[in-house]
Amino acid sequence: MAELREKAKILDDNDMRRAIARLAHEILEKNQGAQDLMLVGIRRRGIPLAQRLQEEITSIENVTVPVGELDITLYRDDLSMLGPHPIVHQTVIPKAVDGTTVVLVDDVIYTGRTVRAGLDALFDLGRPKAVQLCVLIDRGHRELPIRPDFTGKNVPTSQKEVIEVHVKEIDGEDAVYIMEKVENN
Amino acid sequence: MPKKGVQQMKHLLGIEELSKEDILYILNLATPMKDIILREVKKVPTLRGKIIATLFYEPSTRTKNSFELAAKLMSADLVSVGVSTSSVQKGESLKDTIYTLEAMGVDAIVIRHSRNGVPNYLSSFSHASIINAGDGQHEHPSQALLDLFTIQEHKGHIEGLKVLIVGDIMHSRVAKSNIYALNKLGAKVVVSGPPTLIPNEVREYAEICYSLDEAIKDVDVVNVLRLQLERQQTGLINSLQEYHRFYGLTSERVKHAKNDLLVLHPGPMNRGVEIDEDVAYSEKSAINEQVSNGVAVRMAIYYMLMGGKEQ
Amino acid sequence: MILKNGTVLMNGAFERFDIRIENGVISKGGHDLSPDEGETVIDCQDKIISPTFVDMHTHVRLGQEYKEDPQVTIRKAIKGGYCALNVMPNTKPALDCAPMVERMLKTEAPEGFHIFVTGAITNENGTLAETEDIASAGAVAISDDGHWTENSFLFYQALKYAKKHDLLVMDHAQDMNLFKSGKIYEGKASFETGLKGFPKAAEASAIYRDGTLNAQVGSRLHITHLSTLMGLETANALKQIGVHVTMDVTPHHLIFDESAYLSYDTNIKANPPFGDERDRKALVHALRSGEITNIATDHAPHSEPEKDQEWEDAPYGIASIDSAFEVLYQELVTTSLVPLETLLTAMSTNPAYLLGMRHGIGIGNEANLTIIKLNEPHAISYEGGAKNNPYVGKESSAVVTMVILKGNVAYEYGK
Repeated sequence: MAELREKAKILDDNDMRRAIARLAHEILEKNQGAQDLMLVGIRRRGIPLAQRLQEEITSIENVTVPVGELDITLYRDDLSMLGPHPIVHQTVIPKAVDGTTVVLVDDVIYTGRTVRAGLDALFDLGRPKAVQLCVLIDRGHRELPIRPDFTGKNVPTSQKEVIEVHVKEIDGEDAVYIMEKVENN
Repeated sequence: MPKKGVQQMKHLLGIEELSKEDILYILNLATPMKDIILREVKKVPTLRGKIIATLFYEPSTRTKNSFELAAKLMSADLVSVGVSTSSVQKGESLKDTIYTLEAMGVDAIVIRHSRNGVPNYLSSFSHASIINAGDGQHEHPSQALLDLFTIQEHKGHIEGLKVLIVGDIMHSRVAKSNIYALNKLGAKVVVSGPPTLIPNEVREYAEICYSLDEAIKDVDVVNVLRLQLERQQTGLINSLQEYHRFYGLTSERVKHAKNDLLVLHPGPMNRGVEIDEDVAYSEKSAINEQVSNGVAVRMAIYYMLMGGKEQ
Repeated sequence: MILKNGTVLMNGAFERFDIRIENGVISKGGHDLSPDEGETVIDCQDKIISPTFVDMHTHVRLGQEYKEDPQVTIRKAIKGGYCALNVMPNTKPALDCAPMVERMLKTEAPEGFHIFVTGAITNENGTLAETEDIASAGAVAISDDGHWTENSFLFYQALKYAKKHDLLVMDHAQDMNLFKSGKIYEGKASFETGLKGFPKAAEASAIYRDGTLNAQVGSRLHITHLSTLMGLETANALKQIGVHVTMDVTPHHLIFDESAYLSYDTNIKANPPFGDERDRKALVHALRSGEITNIATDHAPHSEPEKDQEWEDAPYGIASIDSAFEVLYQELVTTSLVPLETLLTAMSTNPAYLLGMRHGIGIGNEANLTIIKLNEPHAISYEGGAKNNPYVGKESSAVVTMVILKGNVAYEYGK
């Protein structure tokens, strides 16, 4: 059995706040404002991150962009390799995605498979004008031709390592850790 | 992340062997599944590359179509064995039929059979998942799950509700599966019907009230069972007219029920026998909703048995 | 031959003495018998010696050898400690005429092994079989086993013929109209499995009809494979008013109750069905008290394909003659429910008495003896033939170590 041990804390709550503020600015800059914009968080930790981006955007532009919640379980390509029964949650999209610019939000990008599933799920909901990808951490090791448009921090990792993003809403704190797999004897 | 208390299941044979957690897990899964049915693109790729066979030894339109549609919406491939056209007619044994399907690579077999315990028997040797779509007078688990899902959608919860089941309790697998499920989830069950069609043993799970007029007064939900018309020939009921007078769900009876009474019927209905048309199509009735909920619940069942299975 | 130091069952009680066998009969009993020169001595220290068992209800598959060859049935019976079978008439063709009875009686069997024949009460035309011919051909009993004799008038006549020829009338007491409506008794199991239930009164009401008819005839009426408390009480009530009624019970009705059906295991599918825990306890109690005097296996072998199918389509029947004693010892004796003496007597001399067979440990009797070792834990093994024996694999601490038929060792454990 492998166990995870903390190796380093890469972001604390202030770092995270600053990173999200910067990402909000970048999103607005690239899209020249918040017109037709929708933030869609990928369950689970993409959702609180999308909500924070929404708050930042409101404080900058004084408009509230809609936030959606995307559950990608039914679109995964690795279901039968996982343990028993990942739970399926509801996908909640506040308005039709047709004609909007959707910014997919997730905490970490790694192989790119989650984003691939997210894109499939999104396109079954309608036809967005454009889709952009925003992640807090890019840890490398991509297996698919997918690249984020907005990245909070690039963290080069080895495949033995795991990135853990903690958010207040779920984990009680804002922080990002790099963890190491340790073999138990 | 595995949910606590949920068994890793290979087969769905009956409600009786499920825990409360298992049932709630399926009901919770059915909600996102229903969203899929309601949206523009009614398909998810979850079961791509899996094969599901439906093997119905008894006539059925609704349950068979529902299981087959659910399979298609989840991108599974489907083998629909028509029993009247297959080698089953040539006397092939059930065991051989299952082995044949397995050799074709089938991952799950949805079976309906007039014999009790056939799904249990098949699960003793089948490598594919066995899903009980109704066996004899034993169980019809997917029907009970869709009934409960419909109740939960309308009432927000199951626990503490009082649910009346009316009709042929003795011969009804729908009644039995419902009774087990409602008990496990903490609802109170009342059964009503002619004394010849209510077995004594149901007392362990439900209150018996032979008078429908009495029983209807304070229940939250009434589930009206289909009356098999051939019961008349075997001496169990005297006439359809008498049955209707005593056990038919008429609008007059509904008037004496709670305002927010929910009316269910597993279909197909004998209008004018166990239920009147104006009740079946009233705003209290969720009979058509049961059909779409059936697809959602069957998608959830497939997902539970095949979606996250460890190979 | 001398059997040394055995614990011998005689007249329903254990006693320790040596037995000498000469020319196939028991010639002497006593303490410290000393062997003549060249005489075989079998050490029976710590072993029980019982009269061999007699099965008064066996289905021998003459004409349906694919289910179990009659020779295999006989071999399994001997292994189980038996020296006699009473063959039920539902062979193919049925034992409903003198030639078939004669044919059955000619079945090859080791010396000292007895085949008794039960002729049919009614034939396939629904009229009485030639009861007097059947009796003259050597049948000791008549029965419509597998079914009840529905026609009261015919059964009444059959009782009269039976009385004239001193035939035992073995009654499969079960109201057929009620039986036809179900597969197992109405109860918790029928509710939970969906298997159609029929009321237990089917047995008691049939016993009542047959008992009251016999009250007017005085034949030897025997209720076979009794299964319910109500049936037992009905038979006891009939005895109270002086009607001649005896009863047997099967190993499975002493062991299983209706909860066994929840598994849909076709190997425990038998008719009559199992009652509930109260019924089973009443049967065990009645065996202990002597109200039920006989244990009969109702050995009913079936082929594997017949049993390996949907429960409702599989035939009724349990084939356990090879392990009846071992499993009953475990279930009833080690649990102190029934004394060993009672069990052995109900399996040996009591059924022999009803079949008119001189049997038991006594000077001049045929030396048919079953030697048993207790405290020998082992798993009950499959002995060939039909596989519908639900006890295979179960633990038992008693084992039949030797069967002596007419003075010869016919079976030895482990050999």
